[in-house]
Amino acid sequence: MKKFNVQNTYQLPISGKPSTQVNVLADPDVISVSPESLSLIKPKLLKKQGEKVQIGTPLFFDKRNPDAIWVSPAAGVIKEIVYGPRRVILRVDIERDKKEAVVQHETLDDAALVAMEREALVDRLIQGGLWSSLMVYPFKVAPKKEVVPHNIYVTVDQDDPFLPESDVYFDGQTEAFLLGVTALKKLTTGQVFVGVSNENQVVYPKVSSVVTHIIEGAYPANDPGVFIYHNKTDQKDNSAWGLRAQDVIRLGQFLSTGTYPIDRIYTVGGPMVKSPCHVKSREGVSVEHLLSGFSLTKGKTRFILGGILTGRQADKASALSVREYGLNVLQEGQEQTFLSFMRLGAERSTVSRTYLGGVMQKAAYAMSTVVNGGHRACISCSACPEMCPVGLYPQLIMKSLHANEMEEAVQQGLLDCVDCGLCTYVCPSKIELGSDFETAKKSLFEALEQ
Amino acid sequence: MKFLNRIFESIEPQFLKEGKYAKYYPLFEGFYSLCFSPKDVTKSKVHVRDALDTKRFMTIVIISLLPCLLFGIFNTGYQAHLAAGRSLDLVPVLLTGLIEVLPLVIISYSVGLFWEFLSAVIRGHEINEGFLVTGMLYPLVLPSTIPLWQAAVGITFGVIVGKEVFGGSGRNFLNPALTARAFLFFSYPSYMSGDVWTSLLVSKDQLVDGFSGASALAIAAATQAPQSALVALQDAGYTLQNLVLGLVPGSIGETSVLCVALGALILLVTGVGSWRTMLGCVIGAVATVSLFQFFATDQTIPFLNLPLSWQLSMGSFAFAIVFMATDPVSSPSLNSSRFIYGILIGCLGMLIRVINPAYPEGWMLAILLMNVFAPLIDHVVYQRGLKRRVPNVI
Ligand code: SF4
Ligand code: SF4
Repeated sequence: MKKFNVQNTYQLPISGKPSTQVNVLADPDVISVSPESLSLIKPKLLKKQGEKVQIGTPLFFDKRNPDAIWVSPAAGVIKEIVYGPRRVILRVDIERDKKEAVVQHETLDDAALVAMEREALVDRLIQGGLWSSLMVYPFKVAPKKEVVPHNIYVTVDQDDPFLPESDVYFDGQTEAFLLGVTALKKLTTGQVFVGVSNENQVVYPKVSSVVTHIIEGAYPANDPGVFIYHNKTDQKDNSAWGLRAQDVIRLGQFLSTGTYPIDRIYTVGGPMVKSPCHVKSREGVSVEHLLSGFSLTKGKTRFILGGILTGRQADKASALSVREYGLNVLQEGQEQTFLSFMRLGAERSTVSRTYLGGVMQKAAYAMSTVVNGGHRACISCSACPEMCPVGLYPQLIMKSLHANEMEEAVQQGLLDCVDCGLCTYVCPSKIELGSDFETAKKSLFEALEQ
Repeated sequence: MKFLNRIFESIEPQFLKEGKYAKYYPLFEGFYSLCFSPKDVTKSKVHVRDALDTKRFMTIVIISLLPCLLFGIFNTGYQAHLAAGRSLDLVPVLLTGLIEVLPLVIISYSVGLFWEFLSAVIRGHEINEGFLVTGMLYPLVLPSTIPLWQAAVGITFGVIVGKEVFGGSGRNFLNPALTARAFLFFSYPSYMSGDVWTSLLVSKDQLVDGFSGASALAIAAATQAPQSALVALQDAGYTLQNLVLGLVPGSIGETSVLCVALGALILLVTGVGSWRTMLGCVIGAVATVSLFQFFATDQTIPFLNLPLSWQLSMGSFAFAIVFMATDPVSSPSLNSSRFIYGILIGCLGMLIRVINPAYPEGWMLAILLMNVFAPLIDHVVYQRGLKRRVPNVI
């Protein structure tokens, strides 16, 4: 068992951490699929409005990679297809039947899986709609069918503010996880590395037979990309696959039951949520549905699907996509303060020690979405490299990108960036480092695809 | 305060994109954000942001400069009264100091801000708070005897040539305050390198007996072998205690090691100043002085043999390494190169101070020179670091 320590990590001291209590939600009448939220894909719909679908019916695929198929997480009639600007497909709303029909595949146990041909397994996963949940680094897109990864990296824990905790989503799912790992082992000729946080006492004993690494560090130490970065010794691992435990569990569930797994554990958290906790519901529920049973603090709110440092902004009608496991609710904006920069600032959260709040290092501050300053040129304060979990110098990469030196930026490690958002969070000049990197990676990806 | 905010809000539309005064948006933003925290909310995936902004960053530097400023006001008055043989009571001394120093501070800020605003409007970029620091640093490194017009010319040069021609704050590689100071040094050497550092309140022949006005540096540099520099300094009335306290002639804000140390403490505790740079400078200076002492004999210049404690407490060493060398924009960007950068400044500054008597003080030139080399240090250190990474290229 290897152990590694991720040097630059940060536990965002924000209030509203979900407790491990699990609320069970009733199923909503409408389930939605959100192709638009999946980055770097060109979705092509396979069904039209008014058509009937079952749980597991292919719904759309990626034009660039037809093996990446997403299937319907509900059975019923496609009620509406919501388009956004430039005809991007925002949402496919499915009105549920009373009795939901399921597309049934063969069931497999461990022995049957081990005996299975790799190719047959790949086909099964593609048809089942789970191939699309695998992620190839550095672009984090689904793999092409013929690609055999050098190694596969799986992280057990989730340290984002706030996403479900492993203790909760592993409950009753250990078997599924282990089956999922077995499946992954068939997919690679290399190894399946499984990393677990050193603070994890509950899950570790259950899965210790497959764990290869103990990971030390706060957010985002348990990101698969960080795991790859810390373990890679040669360039082949740059295109390794990286997965979160929740997706591995889904693989296992699919293979053992032969049906597309729709049950999910979510978190509802953030400073605006009163008594935040975990929620058991199903894939494709709307923000509004997820919030039923929760009360929010009064005020202007922002809904974030996914982590507070990585998620997408949404409204009440939006639905959580297949890759989103959490809803965070923050206060939108803040009352302006007079001579704000001259205050002691005991209530302010900062990594630095420039405000009292940064010196006291309280565990939780009720942060809002305010930017806390105007946009300025980089002052070379060197705060960003101190936050980067993969040892980059974000300020230098940003400067290369602004000078249109893409090649230089790649040399500097742009593709190692795991989009954790910590450099953007910390920058006193309020430079959007993360978006710059994301845009650059996107254009790189598109150039490569052509 | 609601009232004030409402005024800002009511005039804001005129400065926005379609507004009548859209060109002056940087000005408006500058003032608005000075009074009230901006109301902008995050738009990207990083939904919350650290409370620190550049305004706070620079405010901390200004706060850390306050002890030097206040003491500088006092000392300017004190030295002037001492030379003229006037009362050394606190109030008259402070008054004299204020009369001498305040105009310089005001000139520095108003002229500098004028250029800053002008270039912000022309370029359409935001007003960078870095100037608030430059505007304060600059008068503190001037002798109180400097004519106001020269101070104004200096800061103009500093802002325009030191900063704006390179694309404004953040892109400049020279420290603007030092650029301004260096400009004055080369353009008006009589004021900047002469012996007279003390504002004279009376005509020369009325000065008290024994007043030379020479700074400790000038004395140490002028000492001829086989005389000892230490004895020469002591003969001129200097004591180590004086130097540390700062009750000696010199640039307005640079004399007191104690006040600089106080400022350094603030910078280090808040993490705004780089401890690596400061430590590097000290190590460089100590090493160089030790080297001097090792080679010093009766024949060499006596300055070589001056004790370390004196070397570190005279002139502008302390001020320069704490406030000038740590300017993040003109320093290297990598932490490890900051250390190297500091050491080089320490060595070079001490060398210029002791070996080259033509320049009364080496720090200004040493730092400016290393400013120029900062990108190179970064490059070398960075390339070495890159070798340790597994490349992730396509
Ligand atoms: S560059 Fe920024 S977003 Fe990317 S990994 Fe480093 S800190 Fe995170
Ligand atoms: S945190 Fe921002 S201002 Fe500081 S070095 Fe990085 S990019 Fe520049």
